[in-house]
Parts: sequence; structure tokens; C-alpha cells
Amino acid sequence: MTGRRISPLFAGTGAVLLVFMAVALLAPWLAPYDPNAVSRDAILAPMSQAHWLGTDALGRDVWSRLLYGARVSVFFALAGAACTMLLGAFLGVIGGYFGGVTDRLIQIGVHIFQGLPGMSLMVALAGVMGPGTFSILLAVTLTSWTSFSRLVRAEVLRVRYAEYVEAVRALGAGHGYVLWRYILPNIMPSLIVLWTVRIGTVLLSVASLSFLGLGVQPPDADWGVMIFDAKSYFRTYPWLLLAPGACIAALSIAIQLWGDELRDYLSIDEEPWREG
Amino acid sequence: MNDLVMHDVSVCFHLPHTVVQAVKHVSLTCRAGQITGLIGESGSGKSVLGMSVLGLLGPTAQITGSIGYRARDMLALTEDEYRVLRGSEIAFIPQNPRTAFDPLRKVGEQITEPLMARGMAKAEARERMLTRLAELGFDDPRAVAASYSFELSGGMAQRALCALGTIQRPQWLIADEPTKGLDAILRQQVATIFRKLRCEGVSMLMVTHDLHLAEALCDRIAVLRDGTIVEEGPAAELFARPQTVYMQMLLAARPDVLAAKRNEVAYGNA
Repeated sequence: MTGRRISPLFAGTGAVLLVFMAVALLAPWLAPYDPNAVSRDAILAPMSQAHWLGTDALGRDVWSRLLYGARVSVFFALAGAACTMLLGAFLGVIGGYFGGVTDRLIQIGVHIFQGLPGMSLMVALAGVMGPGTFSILLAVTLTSWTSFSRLVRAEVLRVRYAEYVEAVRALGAGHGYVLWRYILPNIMPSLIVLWTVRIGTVLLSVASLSFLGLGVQPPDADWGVMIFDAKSYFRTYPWLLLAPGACIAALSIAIQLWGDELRDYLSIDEEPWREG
Repeated sequence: MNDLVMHDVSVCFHLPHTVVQAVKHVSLTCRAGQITGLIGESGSGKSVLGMSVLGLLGPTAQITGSIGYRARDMLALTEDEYRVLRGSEIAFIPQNPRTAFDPLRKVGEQITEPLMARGMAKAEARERMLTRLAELGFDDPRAVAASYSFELSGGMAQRALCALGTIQRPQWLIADEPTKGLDAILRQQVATIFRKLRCEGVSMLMVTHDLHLAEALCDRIAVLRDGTIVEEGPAAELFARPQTVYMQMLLAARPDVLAAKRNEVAYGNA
């Protein structure tokens, strides 16, 4: 058996992700201040015992906002990636498995959506529908399902013509049964890895939307919003921008690396009977 | 009554830029209770013909003609009607026993699966699976049931596959190259299994290019070349007195014949 060892990188990045998840869940208990509480006495305060990362232009505690921001960012990253996966995987599986006209129609859809410039479309969608959880998720999903669906389709095609699928069909299994019991489990490792990688991209997309004022709305704490708020004071108070920026960078790098390691860990030997 | 009667069967594959006609106007009667062999070189359309009986050729294939079974035309069946037939009436054993099992699931689990999918209780299905494996010559059926397909040897995997194919006690078995890639001893084992299945009353259509297997096992043989049947008849007669040049060539190309010829050249005709 190869690839079943937990590498230090896998464990390390996994630990980073766990910390971020824990912070997101426990923010109300960890944060020393209300993230939206304005204080006129402590505007743009430097780092201190009272305010670990100082305060922003409205006197809000940056550390507390960072912790609450993890909530919003992690939620949107997970949910956005999940929606992308559901739509992309559904269409990819249907197209790859059934082929023919169905597949061709789905591929036409994929090409149309791939032809549209992703970021502009996302901004346009979020702008037209107005800011809100639903519109952020929809914008993120509609702009990123195509690559997902293409990869899933390719994976399904690999398994679709495997002899064991033919064998189980010859035993009288229906399409639904084959898809659920044979195709999905065999493409699951790839699906999980694709999903983790997607989480990183969605995190960046949502941060960009928030930065542009189309995502999470002020005063709610979100890393993208915090960067937007901080950009005017960047030269004099760089930590206001560096703190959320570092969080976004750390989380997305950790997710990407973890996804990579996960792929190695989950990789089922394609043809285990070929010893070598 | 349970004969498989193919009448004027043709199979075309519609590919993006071309149409391939794999089987051309084949008429063949496979009698119940017998083993009918379909032999021919690679690409002669024998596997395609075998699979067309079960409607497993996919959307690019166009099948014309008729395949009669129990007073019905199989080619007119809907997908749902096919599903009822597959496995329980007519089973199929694919070419490569290693790849015919899902690598993620244990062999025993996969053999009981069709039984449970058709409503049998788990304990009963398991009992039947173990009995079947034992019948096919496994000394320790439990160990085999608890293995993954890639943990079995080639011969074991082939036997396990026969168990999978016949677990629902089908009337007919279509075997696609059951001895492909097996050595002489394993081929013997496979022949023994198929003889046993015939004794159990399973009728068979065996697609093979293993002429030894065909000679040893089949009652009747049809020789396919370029999608048409060039010769057909009782196995013994066909091997003893091949009528067509093609069949004579096939027989002359058998390894043992070639070896005998080589010996003759090397050591003289003693």
C-alpha cells in the first residue's frame, strides 16, 4: 500500500485548518471585545495589552474583528465550495455517465460559462442582485462550477467504462444504482480533493467581493471588508491591512497544501493488481 | 424453447467521423443446454455479438435484426425489461476477471449484492454466496469473500467471477474470453468450471479465440470473420473436417500444430 502515510506537511496544514475552524466556531468566547463596538477613546491605537492588534479607524478591536471575520470567511468558503461542487459534480456526473445529447448540452453550457470573464460576471451578479448571503453564493457558484464539472466528467468517464461497471450492469443494476454504488465511491477521492482546492479559491473570491463592497457588508467583520477599511491607513498603520491579509493568505495556502497532501493520501491505486 | 435465436443480426457503431460495421447479417441458433462457441481472430466481431444479446453496447451502437429468446425479440426490449433479464436469466462474464470487480469493495460483498438488490435477506444471500464459492472449488470461501479482487490470483479471480455471474442461477451465460491471459493450468481449471456449470443446466455462449478451450468444451461452434459467420457446425466435426480455408488456417495456426511442425523441421520426420 502506498500513500497511506501521514506526512508532516499533511499533519501541519491540517492543524492550521483545525485552528481556523476552532477560531471560527469559538469566536464569541475567544474575542475580548464586541467586534462592532466603536470606541472614540481608542481610535487607531497601536498594539497593546488591551488591544493585541490595535484598533481601527473607528476604534474597533482588530483582534476581535479578525476572530469574527474567520467565521464569515470560513462559512462562505465552505458553503461556496459546497454549492460549486454540488452543481459542478451533478452536471459532470450526468454528462459523463449518460453521454450523448445530454452531455453535449451540458458541455455547451460549460463552454458558455467558461467564455464569460469570471470576475466581471461575479461582480455583475453580486451588483445586480444586491449584497447578501444568497447572491454571494450564487455569484461564486455560477462562475466556478465549469472547471469542477469538466474534471468530474473526466473522472466519471474513466470509471464509466471500467469493466466492473459493465459487469454490474450485466447483472441487472440500473443507472441510479450504478451511479450511487459504483461511480460515486470511485470518484470520491478526486471529488474531495477538488472540493478542498475549491475552498481556497472561493475564499479569495469572497474576499475580493467584500473588498469591492459587493460581498459581506460593513459593519460586519469579514477579512475582505477589513482590508477595504484599512486601505486608507495602510502607510501609517500597516497592521490593519496585514493582519486580515495574512489570515487570508495563511488559510488559503494551508487549504491548498492540505488538499494536495490529501490527494496523495487518498489516492487509490488505479490498478493495484499490476505489481511493480 | 429457451434457445437464443439470432436472425440477421447486424451491429453498427456510429463514431464521430465514421461508421464501423462490426457484425454483418449473422444468423445463429444457440441451443439451450449446450455450449455454443463463437471463435475468430481479434476484431472479428465476436465479443460485440455476445454483448449485443444483453443490450450492453452503449448508445453509439445500432443493432438490427432480431434475437429471439422465449418467444420474445430481445432487441425490442426496453431498458427496464432488459434489467430484469440481465443477471437472473442471462448473465455475462466479462473478459478480465481482475477488472470486473470494483477495487473498493470486497469480493463477497459484490457477489451477494445482486441477490440483496432483488430482495434477499443478508444472511441468506451470504450463505448462498459461500455455498456457490465452495461449489466452484474454493477450499476457504470465507477468506475469498473477505478479499479484494486484486488480492486474488488470476485463476481465483476467474472462479470468483463465475460465482458472481451465476449467483442468480441464470439460464444462460455469456462468457467473453474466459481464458484470456491465463496459463495452461488455469485454462484447465476454467474448462472444469464451465463443464460443471453445464452439468448444472446452464446454457452458454462462449466467445473465445482459445481453440483448445473451444474444442474441449463447446458442443457447437460458429467461426466469425470480419463480422460474418464463415462456418458453423458441431464442434467435433468442425475440428475434424474444417470446410473453409479460413478455419483450416486457424487450426494450422494453433501453437501445438506450429510446435509439431517446428519439431518436424528440426528433428526430421521420425
